[in-house]
Amino acid sequence: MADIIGSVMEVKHIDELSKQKNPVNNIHPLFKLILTLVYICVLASFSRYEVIGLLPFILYPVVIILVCDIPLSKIFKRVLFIEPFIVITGILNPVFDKSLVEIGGFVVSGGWLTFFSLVIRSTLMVTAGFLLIATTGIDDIAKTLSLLKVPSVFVLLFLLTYRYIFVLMDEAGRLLKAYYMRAPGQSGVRVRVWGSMVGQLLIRTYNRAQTIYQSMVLKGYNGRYNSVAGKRVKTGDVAYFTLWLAFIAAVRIYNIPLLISALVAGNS
Amino acid sequence: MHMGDVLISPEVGGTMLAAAVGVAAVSIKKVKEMDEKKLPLMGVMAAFVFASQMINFTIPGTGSSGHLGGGLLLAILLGPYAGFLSMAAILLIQALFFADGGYLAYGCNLINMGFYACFIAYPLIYKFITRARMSRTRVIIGSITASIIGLQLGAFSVVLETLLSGKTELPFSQFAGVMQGIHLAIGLVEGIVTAAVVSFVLKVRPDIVGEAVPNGSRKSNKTIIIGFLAAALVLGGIVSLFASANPDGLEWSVGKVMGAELQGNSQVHEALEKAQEKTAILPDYGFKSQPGTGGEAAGTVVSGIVGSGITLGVIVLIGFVIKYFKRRKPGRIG
Repeated sequence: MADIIGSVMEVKHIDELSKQKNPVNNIHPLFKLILTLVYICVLASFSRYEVIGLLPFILYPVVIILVCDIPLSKIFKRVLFIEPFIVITGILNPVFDKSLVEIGGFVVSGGWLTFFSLVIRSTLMVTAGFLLIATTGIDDIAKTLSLLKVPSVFVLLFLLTYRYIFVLMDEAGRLLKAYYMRAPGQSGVRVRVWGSMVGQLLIRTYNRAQTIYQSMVLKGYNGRYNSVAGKRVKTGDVAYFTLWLAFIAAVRIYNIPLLISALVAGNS
Repeated sequence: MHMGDVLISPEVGGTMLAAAVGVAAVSIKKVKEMDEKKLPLMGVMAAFVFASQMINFTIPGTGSSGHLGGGLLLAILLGPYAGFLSMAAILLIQALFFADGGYLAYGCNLINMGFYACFIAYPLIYKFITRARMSRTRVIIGSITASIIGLQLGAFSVVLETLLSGKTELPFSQFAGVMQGIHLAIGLVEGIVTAAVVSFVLKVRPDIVGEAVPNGSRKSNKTIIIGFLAAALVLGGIVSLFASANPDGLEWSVGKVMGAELQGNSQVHEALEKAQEKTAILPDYGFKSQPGTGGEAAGTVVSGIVGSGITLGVIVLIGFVIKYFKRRKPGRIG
């Protein structure tokens, strides 16, 4: 329980990061969203044996982390949370893929290559997603969604859900605390109260939803998502976007580490 | 059951995203036709599913515990369309803020966890069983059967999507066996929790779950089934397209597409291409190093390691440069 509350509070903290003043936070959110998606798709497009070609992609998160002063511990936590699942799905690769490759006298199975490829890619993808949130924030993401013509029903739903997660977490937390204080030394909720416990929370939630609706109507809610005008597109935004796009295209088309090797070998 | 980006190929992710957006568009249209009162309810209920996930249930007879997934419960409380949209909001927030499920895999996750629960398990099984009478027994049987079937379909989709993406070596039968087995247990727990919650609410506040009671709902049921069949046909068509294509074709790569367009005649290009050809250890899927021709191949791999080292060195250098400049202008940040 403490874990979940902790990770939810963490999320709030990440959202706070996006309110700092720095060059990347100021970039138009639409560009950052597209860039993140392109980055993830391009990483996904590599063949599963690729390891060396993935290395130049590390530049993108490194630059953003340093420019935005994003605490590394937060990223590590997030990546560590995901990594076990990746390891489970990938760890059998060396068992199933027995094709052999020689690397400098060592014989390595192709399965290990695919495993490392999976781990590197998942780390980069998760980090890129994290950096989008840490530099953009929920409000700007909602605005971008409506810029992309996502219906306002969904944008509002998205914002409402996000807003009330924290409120209901508190509510559920109190409920659980009350339960555990009366049931010391118990690891989970007993089967007899499954229904009444979640049901209680549900009924409270339902009543709350009605109050929320009434107050929304009083404040002029008419079913639409209204927001202050978003950021304007500046030349800097376009330059930022184009440069990263060019970088991603370049490292996708050319295997930079191998090219460097070829140059080094050619000169010596 | 959340899939990450790393196991998904762009084509599978894109196709599933298109399918999910299609279902979402229909749902949004339906929700708009309904009461606008529902929107806050949908948002708060979605948040409720989040909150309820922190409650750990001890599973009797085992040492383990589980928690609620919520797809079926949302469909029962809000109806299939609003339930699906709430699931879409939950999954989007999980992907963005909790790294639970990827961006590229968003469509897959929405279909696996939202579509089957809201448009198959709920209307075809839960509603069918509770149609005649909303009794406690029927709610329990309905919830358990529906959630097991919903999760089985979802788990099987995960297997199919992973295999079509071809990012891991897991063999079909073992992977499917493990996934279906685990999700049989998860589905059972999910069904029991859902049943417990719904029958409690039915007792205390029947108006909340009472909407779905008898009669009159025949017509809407029919439209749901027609909609589901259409979606299944489209999905089936797409999947068979992938299945019938040469499996190697799946390994569609941006590099090839772009490379073909960018093939210039200049000397630089040629030189670079030659260098790449010469040095590529992994041209496409195969390995250049055949057993027996070890020496030369090993040489290129070693030089690949040198290049990797230099690449990483350059990245670290860039990092230091950024740090240096930031320290020189402390006023700019913060």
